Amino acid sequence: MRVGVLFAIVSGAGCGGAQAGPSVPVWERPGLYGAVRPEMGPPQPGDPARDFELPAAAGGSFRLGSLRGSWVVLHFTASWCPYCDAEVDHLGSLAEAYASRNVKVVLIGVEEDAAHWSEYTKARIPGSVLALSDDRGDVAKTYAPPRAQPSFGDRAQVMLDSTLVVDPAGTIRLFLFPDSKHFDPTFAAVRRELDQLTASWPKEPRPMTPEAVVSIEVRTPPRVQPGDRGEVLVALQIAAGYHVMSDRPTEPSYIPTRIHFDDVQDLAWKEPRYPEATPFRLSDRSIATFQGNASVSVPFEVAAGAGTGERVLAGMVRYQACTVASCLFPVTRRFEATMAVGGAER
Amino acid sequence: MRRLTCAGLAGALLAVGCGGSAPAAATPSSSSPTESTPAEPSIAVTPEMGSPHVGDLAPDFVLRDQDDHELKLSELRGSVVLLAFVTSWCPFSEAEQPNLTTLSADYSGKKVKVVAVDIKEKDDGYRKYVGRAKMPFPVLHDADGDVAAKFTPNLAQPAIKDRSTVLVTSNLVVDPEGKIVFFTMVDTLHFDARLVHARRAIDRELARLGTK
Repeated sequence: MRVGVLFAIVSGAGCGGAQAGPSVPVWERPGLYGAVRPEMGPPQPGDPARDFELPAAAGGSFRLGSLRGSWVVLHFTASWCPYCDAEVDHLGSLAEAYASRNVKVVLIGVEEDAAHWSEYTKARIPGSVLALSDDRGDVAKTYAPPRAQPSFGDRAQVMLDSTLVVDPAGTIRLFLFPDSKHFDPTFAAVRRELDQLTASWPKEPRPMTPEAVVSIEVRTPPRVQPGDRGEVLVALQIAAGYHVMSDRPTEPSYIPTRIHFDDVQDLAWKEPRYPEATPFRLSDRSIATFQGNASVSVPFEVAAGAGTGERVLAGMVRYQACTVASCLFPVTRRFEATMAVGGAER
Repeated sequence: MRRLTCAGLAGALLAVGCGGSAPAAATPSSSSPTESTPAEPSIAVTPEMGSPHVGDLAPDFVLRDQDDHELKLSELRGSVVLLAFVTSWCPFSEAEQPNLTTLSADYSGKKVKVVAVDIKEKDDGYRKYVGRAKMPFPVLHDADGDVAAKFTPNLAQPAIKDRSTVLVTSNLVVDPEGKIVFFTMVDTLHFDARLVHARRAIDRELARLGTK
């Protein structure tokens, strides 16, 4: 039974199409070796990076969660591991080269004697790298997928020389084991992945008040006649870098964007028609949002016996504006426009 | 045993993956030793990696074993020799070590000698290692790694400065004439902990001896 399940997972994991393209599983991507595979078990890319606190070689302690908002390259090492040692200088260069892209490099010494690790870090680890000591291997164990390196008794050592990339939201985006067959101490593959990941990550926009994020313009027909049907367009313009939830948000707890008109004499409002949602990619999933320009059309009917005169169309829009990193308070904003009913038509 | 079988299966699947030809995983319900093994030997040492490689004479050496006996490789001519470069500090080597013991038991009484070379271990580390691991075959102490360095193909793993450590968890089969007929270095992704490919190479040599 177990066998069948394992096979199903493997064949389901994309062995069919080996064509290069966005649908190619990460472990089949050319030039990227050693990516963790689903059948090894968690953690996998898309999972949250489990938080931990470890003593830093430079003194004090360090918590992974304190780097929320930054990219983190997490590398597990041991002073006696020849592959690992060949990499440390290059890890330092990577840290320097990517510092301006909000990337922090964290090196975890696994099961190292405290005094020896302290000496090793002083002698070998570049200052641009934050060195931590996991002397009992507890953190390494929590990151070791249960079915990777099944022949290893000490599960902490499964993680030696492996590299994870964690995004600013704290989600694992890349998890590579060492591949001695394609050993490249320069982290070229990790750099390529970081280039892509950081470039595709939405930029944090300048801070704004919730009201300033969305500008509202109401377009009405200049004049309608009794018995007419028409529509009012409420055009929302959402500032770059922000989004609001669509009228049907992905999660029940999200605040939907809603438009509502007050009752107006001789007008019957119909259900607003919202535009199609735009997917917004978070680190681990996609949510339904409005971005940029979103126009909501609100149809109405003019009563057959409507009296001539100007009508004030007053309404409100409720929304919650967010960036990739955080959301602002939800707001309800009122707006008004006028429309003539009956009378002269030229 | 059950645990071993399951672990082995996972390994076979990882290793075979999408390679296409996957004979090793064809009979997953059996407990054949091919289960945990990649279809091809891990990193086979080819002439492109420099010397020595398969086809060369194994460099000769003299080292002392755990009983303080001197052992000279060329004195084992006439037997098939499995030469395993081991160390207590490498997790791959540790995972392989019980399988070396099993292999030596399985081939006892045949013209096969198993010899381990412990690379770069201080005296007390070496003593602790041979005391703990209880390997029923010579475990030679290559304290400064000189012998390992002689066997390290000069173009393999160029990024690793300490050339003797390149050879950790490498396995060679040397034929009765002293020629290297099998030589792999550790493949961390497709790790053949159970030495299946080395066993195949030994079996080929024994078959050759039998038909001579």
